[in-house]
Amino acid sequence: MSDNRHEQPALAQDAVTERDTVLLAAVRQQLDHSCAALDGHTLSRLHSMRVAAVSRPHSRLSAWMMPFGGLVTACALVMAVNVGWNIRKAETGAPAAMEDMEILAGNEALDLYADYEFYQWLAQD
Amino acid sequence: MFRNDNEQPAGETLARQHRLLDRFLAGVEKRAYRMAVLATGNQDEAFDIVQDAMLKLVEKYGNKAEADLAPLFFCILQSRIHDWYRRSSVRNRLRSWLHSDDEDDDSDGLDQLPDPSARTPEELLAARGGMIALDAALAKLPLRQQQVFLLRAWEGLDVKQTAAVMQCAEGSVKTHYSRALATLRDKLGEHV
Repeated sequence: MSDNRHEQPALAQDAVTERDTVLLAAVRQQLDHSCAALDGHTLSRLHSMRVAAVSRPHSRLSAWMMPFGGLVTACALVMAVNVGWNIRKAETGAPAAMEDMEILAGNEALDLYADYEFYQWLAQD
Repeated sequence: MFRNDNEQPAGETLARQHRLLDRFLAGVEKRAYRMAVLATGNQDEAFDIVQDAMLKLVEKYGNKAEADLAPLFFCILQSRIHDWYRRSSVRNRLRSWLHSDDEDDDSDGLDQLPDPSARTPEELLAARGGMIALDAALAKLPLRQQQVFLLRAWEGLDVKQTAAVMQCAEGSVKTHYSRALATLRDKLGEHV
């Protein structure tokens, strides 16, 4: 685009008179001249800014990779929550598991435990 | 040994991209600075705006193709100028509200901005009459008219590109440009 700067695109698409053409050419010339006439301090400062900007490492992630970054973060978050949930569940479920082990390891018949509510009702009567 | 001949090492690609960015920025930095000075009327503010635009371009779009750099850079520059204008308007409104409670203030804050056409006697002597007249005329244009005019007439962007950079409709670009041209025609008629 910068290469097209002096092809007068403004004149091609807008209805301008010959007088405007002269005016625009003069304006461009004066603006170009103002750039060429910038003082040494300004040019030096612009140069330093450019060197600092270009030497600064730019983002290595392409735009198309950004959603994947978000996806990875979301997956890590879900995994962390899931692991935390399971740890908590395991801690609270430990006594119940121990009770089950005692029943299974005991000598009583399992049918007794299966019909436990029936025997309890029978005893109340 | 296992590398394809068409592939280039990452370091070489990076160095080439740095050279491309440096060349591009070297080509536009003076015009960008002048645009920012005309918009803000303040050299330090203009430096800050151009520096921000350079850093953002390299940081976010440093790997873009050369043809894409100009629209991206000027889009960032316009965004920074717009941010500056908004901050200045708020600051000036606050200042005028704090310091003139008893005065009716129906201004829009523009009259509080520094006058870009105000120059020292040395600058007036050094600069040519035509340049002063042009600077003054451009500085007095409303900001959007001024920037649309500069992008179209100086930078060479077409209507579509200018609309994308200014983030407005193509019809608005044509209107701003037409009004700016009419104003400059009236004010600079005798200088060109």
